[in-house]
Amino acid sequence: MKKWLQRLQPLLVNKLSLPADLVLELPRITVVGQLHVYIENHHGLKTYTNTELTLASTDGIIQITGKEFVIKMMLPEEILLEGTIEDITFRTN
Amino acid sequence: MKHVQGSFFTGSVTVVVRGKRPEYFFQMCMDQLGIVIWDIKKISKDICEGKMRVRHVSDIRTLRRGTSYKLTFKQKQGYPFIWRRWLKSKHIVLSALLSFFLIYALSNMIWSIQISGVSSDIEEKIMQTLEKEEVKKGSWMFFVPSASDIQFALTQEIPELLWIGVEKKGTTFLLEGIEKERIEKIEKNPPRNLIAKKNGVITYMHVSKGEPVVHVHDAVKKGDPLVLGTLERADEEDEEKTIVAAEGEVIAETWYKVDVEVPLHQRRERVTGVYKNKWFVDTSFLEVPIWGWGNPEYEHSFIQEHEHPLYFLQWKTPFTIKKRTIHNQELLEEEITEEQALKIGIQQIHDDLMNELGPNIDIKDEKILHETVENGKVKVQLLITVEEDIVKEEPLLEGD
Repeated sequence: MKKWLQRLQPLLVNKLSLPADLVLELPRITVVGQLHVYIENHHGLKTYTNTELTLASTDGIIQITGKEFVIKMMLPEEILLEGTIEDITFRTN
Repeated sequence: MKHVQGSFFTGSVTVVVRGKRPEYFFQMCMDQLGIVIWDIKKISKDICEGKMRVRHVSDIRTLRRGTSYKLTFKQKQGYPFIWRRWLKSKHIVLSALLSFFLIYALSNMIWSIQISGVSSDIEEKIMQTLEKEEVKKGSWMFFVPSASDIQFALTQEIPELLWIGVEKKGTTFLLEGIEKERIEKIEKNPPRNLIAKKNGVITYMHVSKGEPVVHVHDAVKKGDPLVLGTLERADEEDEEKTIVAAEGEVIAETWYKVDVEVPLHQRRERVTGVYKNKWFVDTSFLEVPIWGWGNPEYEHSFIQEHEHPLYFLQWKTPFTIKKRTIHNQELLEEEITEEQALKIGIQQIHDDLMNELGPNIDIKDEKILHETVENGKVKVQLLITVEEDIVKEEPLLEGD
């Protein structure tokens, strides 16, 4: 059943052009210059320091590095990060 | 950022979390309680701070139990805290406000009335008149009539006053009066002749000093001598000339040719005596009504405004108390006949002549020289015969 669903999902995205972030439960990241990063659909905070933010996602982690980080807002599955963003990296396990 | 909106009104606190991986504590708050936290900063490896709403503080405290985190709260922000701080010092604030209003009220009262320059019995009369005009110690400045009105009332009521100056200086009324002094004028006029002011025929003469050179029924021209100031006394031994100030009254008939125009269609405005008072507090940009609402439905009206500036101590504040009186007015329109117009015109000329020549003239006769009706107006030319004093003084130069 689960396998069948997993095979169906890309099909839904491609053939019916449904938004990928909703169907595949992927994180959606909005970046405004170097100032803001807005991450939706994440699966929890892993680490947070002045210079680094790591978030869990469906298949791996998202790592954001930079300077003077402040979490402007934290909601379930949503995070708004402010500071000077230098790098955004995806790591799949 | 809509989650943060309104946090000023509900109040927010800054929470400092100490412990191992403090950011997890915030994560826990979110996952388990759904509390919104913003402005999260990592101070050091074990310290993290963030802002949250005041009402979630007790929830967060129960959540902390059973964990190894330590919480401290600092920087209370927002309206509830300002309110609480204000409540603590409200006596001071209230008493300051109260004293401010007290001073404000007292600044707009009359505290003293000072009268100078008049004798004590007139001072008493002035005080009585002032009391009638509602000017007394302790009355409100904005109910008091204006300085010029008081001045007028005082000079009307007290005939002994020659002049009175009224000045409003802060809470004090300064009145300075001059009494009419009844000192017999010691006339010591320089020697002079009397000459004619205008052309005319003399009807009456009375010379008390000097030598008359004209007689009754004589026609004189402007500038002709009437009474001389040099007396020649023939009965004395040597012909000695005495010089006096000629004095006398010479009444003559004079004539004036006057043109007057009177419209046949008369329009007049008359105040009926019905009125409505409205009171306002006025600032430079806004007028706040305090008494007297609604506008009366008068067809024609006439508006009078009185302004009373409010003072704080000696300073004028931007507020004024304004009294607006709306008088009902009637518009009277009527057509008059030519005869009536003529009457009005003649009366008008009489009034004008009285104004010009003084009240001691006698209008003997008037003749209509010319009368036309043109463009709804009656045009009349009149010849008016007037009896008046035509004496004019001409000083005698020394050595004449």
